[in-house]
Amino acid sequence: MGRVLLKVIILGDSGVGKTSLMNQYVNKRFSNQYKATIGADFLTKEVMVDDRLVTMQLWDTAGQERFQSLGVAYYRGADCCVLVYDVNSAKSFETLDSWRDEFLIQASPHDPENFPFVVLGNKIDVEENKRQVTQKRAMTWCQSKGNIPYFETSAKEAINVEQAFQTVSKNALQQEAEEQLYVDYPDPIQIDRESTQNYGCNC
Amino acid sequence: MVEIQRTQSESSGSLSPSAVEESKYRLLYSKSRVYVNPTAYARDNIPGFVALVKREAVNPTYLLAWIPETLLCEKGTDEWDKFVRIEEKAMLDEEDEDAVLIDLPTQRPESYAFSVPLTSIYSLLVHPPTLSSWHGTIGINLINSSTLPTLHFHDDESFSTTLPFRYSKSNSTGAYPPTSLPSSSRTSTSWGGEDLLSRLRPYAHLLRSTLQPSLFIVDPSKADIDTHTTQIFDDDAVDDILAQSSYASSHSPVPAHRRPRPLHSVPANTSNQHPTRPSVLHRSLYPPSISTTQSSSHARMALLQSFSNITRATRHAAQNILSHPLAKPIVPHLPDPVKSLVNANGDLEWGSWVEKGGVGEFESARVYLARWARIVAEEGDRARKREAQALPSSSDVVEEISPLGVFELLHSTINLPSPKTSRDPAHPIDEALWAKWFDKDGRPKVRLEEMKCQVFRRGITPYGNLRKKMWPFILGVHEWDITDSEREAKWEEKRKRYCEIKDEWCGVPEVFDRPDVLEERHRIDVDCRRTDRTQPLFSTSYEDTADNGSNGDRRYTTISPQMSDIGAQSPSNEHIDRLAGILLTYNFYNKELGYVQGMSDLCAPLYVAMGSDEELTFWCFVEIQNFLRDQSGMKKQLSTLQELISVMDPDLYRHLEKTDGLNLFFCFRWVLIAFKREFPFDDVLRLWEVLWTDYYSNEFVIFVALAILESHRDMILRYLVEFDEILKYCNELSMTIELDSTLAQAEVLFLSFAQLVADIDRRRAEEATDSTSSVLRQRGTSSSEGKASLSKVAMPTLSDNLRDLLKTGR
Repeated sequence: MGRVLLKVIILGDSGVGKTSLMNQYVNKRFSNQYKATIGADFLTKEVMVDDRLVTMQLWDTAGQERFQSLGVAYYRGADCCVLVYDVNSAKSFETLDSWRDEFLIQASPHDPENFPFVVLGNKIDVEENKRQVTQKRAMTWCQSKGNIPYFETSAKEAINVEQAFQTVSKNALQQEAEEQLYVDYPDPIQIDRESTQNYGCNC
Repeated sequence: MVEIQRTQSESSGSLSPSAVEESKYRLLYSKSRVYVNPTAYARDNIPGFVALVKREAVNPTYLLAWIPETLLCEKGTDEWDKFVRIEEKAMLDEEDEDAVLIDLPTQRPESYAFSVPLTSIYSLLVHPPTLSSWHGTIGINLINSSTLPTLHFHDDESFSTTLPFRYSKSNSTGAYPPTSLPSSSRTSTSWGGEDLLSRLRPYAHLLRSTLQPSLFIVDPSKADIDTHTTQIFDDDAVDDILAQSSYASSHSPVPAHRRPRPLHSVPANTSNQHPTRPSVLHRSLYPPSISTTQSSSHARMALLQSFSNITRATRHAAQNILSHPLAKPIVPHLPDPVKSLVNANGDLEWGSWVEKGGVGEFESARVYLARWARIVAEEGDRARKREAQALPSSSDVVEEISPLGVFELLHSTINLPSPKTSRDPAHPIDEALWAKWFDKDGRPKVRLEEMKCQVFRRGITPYGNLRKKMWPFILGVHEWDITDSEREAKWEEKRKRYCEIKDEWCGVPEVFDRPDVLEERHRIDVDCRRTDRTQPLFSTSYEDTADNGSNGDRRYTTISPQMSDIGAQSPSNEHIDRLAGILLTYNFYNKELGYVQGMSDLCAPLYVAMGSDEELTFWCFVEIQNFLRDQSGMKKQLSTLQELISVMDPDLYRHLEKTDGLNLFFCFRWVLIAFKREFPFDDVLRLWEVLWTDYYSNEFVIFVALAILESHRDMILRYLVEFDEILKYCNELSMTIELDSTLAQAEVLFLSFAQLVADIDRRRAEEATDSTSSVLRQRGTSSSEGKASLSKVAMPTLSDNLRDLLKTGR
């Protein structure tokens, strides 16, 4: 069996720690010098999933909403989407809904209902009394969206990051296999939709 | 390789006219409308025929000749017809069974006619046509080191190159050894000079120099071969190893189109094909001219020679190279897998680090290779410059080490002057000079344009606080042609205005805590806390200074929302708060725009350069935003850049098209924040003051982007076959770009573009007035329609966006 490339998109409000999480996972380091991401960048990492060696390509994009129009170019062909919020900011949690919707619109996966998301509540290293979003609240939301796996992480202290991304890679691999079915048996309607979607990238 | 045995050894140097006249000459090949340009004026150009002539004898001599049309006319129509007939025959690739014998005209110096035996030619300097110089040229250097007049191939007027059916016939190359002229190159790339080279090949060994790809050595000596065949970092060889690595070829998960390109079957160093690269810039990528490279590049050659060892898959090659003294500065830049070779034992081979990795490393390997190839090339270039500087200065050397470097050869045709950079960043404007520009009352003695010109060329000294004085003038915050006291009065108004706007939110809780304002405060604050934190002003935090901001009215002097609103962020400090305050105030000054990520990146350097003066920073920032808005947003800028690439470098454009990269998102960050993230802080200041002058173009930033892309286009074309790879490569260029050479290139690119536009307009005008007279001038050998359609194909159309690039001043 051949190896695969899994494309993972990391989304969430500005400043919740998307770049930090990605760097902690791939490069095993944390810096408080990360700047706001302008445009987009990605890192790749090799991982074993169910005895298969896969390459994850983790895409980090700008957190400000007004840059989401660029998303089309980056989201296409995604196998999993990681939604990140800051447990110390209620607002960053409340916007998860719109991040999820926006992703589904722009990436337009074949089966939006079952597209794999993973939610990460980041910055749990901060003192407990600053916390704004309880674990229960987050898990309730995740359940309501079709049992999205939920992890509480700290990119700074490297808490739960590895575990979270293992789930990401596992679900992405599964998604990739299902996408493959569409490639083998193309659905004319879906192809049509993809071709009209291309307008966005020729600026 | 064609080897023609020549037993004859007598003739080197021109034949004497008397010998010429007695012999029989057989015309093998002729081509019309090849000009000699005795002066720079087009009216003096002399049309003629270039011909290959065989002097019949036991040991025949082959001669290369150029005969002006006037001289042929003197001989009568028969003679003229012979040349036309041979041109026709050659074009059809027909075997010339029946010999066409001619009188070789006597050489007459005033007519510029010449005929020289091939054995007397040392080298040919071949420049194919480019977008800006329609006519390819061939220069001929003789062994006795004299040079014959350069031949200009006006293919658009010549019978053989304008005839429509020539392509269909050209596949039969039976008359010529197949290696000399593959049919593929024939059908797609032919211009008159290339055709001539292929005709010469059966009679002489033409060796294309790797030192200077435009140079072809005729019947090279062994020493010549050694000098001119050493590979300059044979990237193909690296690809070869990748392609041949057993893992990659047998079970590579990489789709075929993503693998490195297959090797040419012909070894690169003997390939005589002359690739046609229709880029205006293609020559910029060639090393500088032959006359100087030989003397100055030994160290570079040693390094590059070591690299060529890789091609032979030498077991220890990698270590040899990496331990070479010249390679030392490169090592820190190498990807870890390659770096590990430096210390690895001798058993480790090149392919293994590729095999060892999976898809990811294989893919990123190409990005690494591209990066690495660039660093090697740059390092080689630097070493070459160091060597050149060490040599006693001659005019040649000075030419070579000018900041333009490889761009020196850009427009080397006679009619166009080479654009050169006017920048002199080594001598920035200092306080003394600045003071000299003003009268006692503070009224300037020089014009605003002159000041900006000086800023563009020299920049401003980083010492003292001259930028704080000058930037407000460059940006138009301060008026130029007034006295100090008038200026102070006007500034006082602006200062007041700033305070008024700031007071709209500062100390007004009902505004300050309004949900929409809170949201903007959040956006601004989160970004300001992570902007330029290495700058001394921003590096401390309230926690460090023990002033943790607990005093009551801090709430209204800073814009930081409660942590519950912004989440956990890096600690702030007084200057970060003030920076955020300036941006929030801007939000009230320009209510439609709102805060856009990237604004903190644009504002922070202003704050630093203005010595944390809030009002000055604010008004400079307003001007920068005007500056950005004038360019009507990212979308227009990126599409302008896209059009510019299509005109200036069609090859790159096509490559981006193939790789889904035409959206140019890999330039997004560059343009959005004017390269703030691509250069170190001090360089950003130097770059911005140049951009703000609008000296050449209001959108000089586009040319800076093009300059960066152009200096990496070879790596991009060769290695990067997917959009994500180009994005990664470009993102990783950050902090590796040399500012002054980039600006010099940007300037040259602008000048080339301006020349190109002028050239196109001139041709359009000529075309309009010329359509009737051209028929007469063509002597019936080509149809005027043929010419018109040809020039239409060759000339790109220029959109308004592109023409706007020539505008300066707002």
